[in-house]
Amino acid sequence: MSAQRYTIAIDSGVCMGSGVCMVYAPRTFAMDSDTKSAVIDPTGDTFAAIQAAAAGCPTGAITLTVPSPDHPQSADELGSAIRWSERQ
Amino acid sequence: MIPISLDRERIRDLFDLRRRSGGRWGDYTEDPYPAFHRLRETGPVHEGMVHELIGYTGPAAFGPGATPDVGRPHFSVFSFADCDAVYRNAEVFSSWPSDKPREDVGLNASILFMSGATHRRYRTLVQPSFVPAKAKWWMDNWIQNTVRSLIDSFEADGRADLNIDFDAAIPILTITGSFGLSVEEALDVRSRVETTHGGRRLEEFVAPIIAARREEPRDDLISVLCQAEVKDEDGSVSRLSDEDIITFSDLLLTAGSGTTWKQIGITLFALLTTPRILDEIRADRSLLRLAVEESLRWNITDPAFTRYPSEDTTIAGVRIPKGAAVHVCIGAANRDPARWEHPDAYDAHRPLKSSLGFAGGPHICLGMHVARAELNAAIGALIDRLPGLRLDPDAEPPSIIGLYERGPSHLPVVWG
Repeated sequence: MSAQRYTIAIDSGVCMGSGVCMVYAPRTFAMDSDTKSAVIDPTGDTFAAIQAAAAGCPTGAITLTVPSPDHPQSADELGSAIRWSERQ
Repeated sequence: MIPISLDRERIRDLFDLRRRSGGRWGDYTEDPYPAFHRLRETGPVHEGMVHELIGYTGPAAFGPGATPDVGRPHFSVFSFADCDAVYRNAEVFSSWPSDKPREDVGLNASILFMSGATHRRYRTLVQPSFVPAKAKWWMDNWIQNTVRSLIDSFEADGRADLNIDFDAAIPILTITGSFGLSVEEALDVRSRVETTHGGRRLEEFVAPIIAARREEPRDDLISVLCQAEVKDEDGSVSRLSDEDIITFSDLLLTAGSGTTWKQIGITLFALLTTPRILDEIRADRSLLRLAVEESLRWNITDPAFTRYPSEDTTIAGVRIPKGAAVHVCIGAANRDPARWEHPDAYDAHRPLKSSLGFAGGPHICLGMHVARAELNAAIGALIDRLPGLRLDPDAEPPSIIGLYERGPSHLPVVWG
């Protein structure tokens, strides 16, 4: 992805430090000294990989948002990622 | 590292699924997935236990205390979305039934059966030793040496049953190595886990190690547990008791030594029966990681776990009363065509997305990154050291057997 059109937010109160995000997007997420997920490079992996990380987070601690509406290809998929986190 | 010399017959006794009886084990030899598909399509929630619903009529049990929980209504869930939702909603779907008194000994006292803030507090203590960044610590200290020594022990033979000679030993030696136990002690412990009689109790091995590590910490797991600080709700800080550490050790051993062994076998089964993918991995090692993730989706060793709703609820429109047992069939969930195209195919080239291979929600497998490291190290080393690795054409072809614990019947291979 040439330009980042999304933001990644991690709720560290919800993050359990499982490390699941690092399986799917290892160049985007890392663990901080408190064993909480942190974004090290928001464009480190493909958007699909970052979505897989957000959707796979066992506690729904990762929220992806797309501020720009001109991202039609991913917006639909993003919807499912957000619905995942809303299940919490 | 001292070369590992293993008593193969003893290993076979401890680990051969075909020598087990009862529905958890090897006397179920059918493919459950056609039934899983049918149950998902006609459900995805059904009243009954998974083995009953797929038509298995023998005795079968799992859950707290490994009893069938007679007298409780049972429901089973077969779709990805609903299984995932049950795991994520841990406030309603608890791992221990709310109408049953908590037990404070052995595995039943472990984080497996804790909930809410208590679960989080205790899991947080061990989580730092099991994060992806710690995989190297596990690899350098225990996994790589174990894998190397095991291959040394059979490399010159030209043939092996990898299920027994290799897969079974890696996880148990990794976990017990991290406790500071010898190989013989490790097998004694496994004997105890498998038979619940004979062998020595885990605490007989671990208690003296705990005492030694409290005096003089080393770079191992027991030392980490000895030094871990528990922050209670009132903010006070305490250390884990010897009993807490023994319970953790029991959990790691029970959960870590059986599952990873069988999953290494399942992954090898998948690769040996689809040699095209094995060749692709030989040419491009980065594919191995995806092949491992796909095996966790395609054929997970433990295909069902149980949750207990703490209130009346519904799943996919089916009313589930408080006190019922809800069996989450992750085996079926992982082949849900709503999430994966051609779900029955083992395809290492799929776009990577999360499965329920390590379960999900706040109880997601603590050891998953260690298991992944073991899977990747084990299979990578076989490919490196045994050129031309293939199923033995003269041996009886293996199959995946077992009901609630699945794995290969055997893995007869030759190389060279």
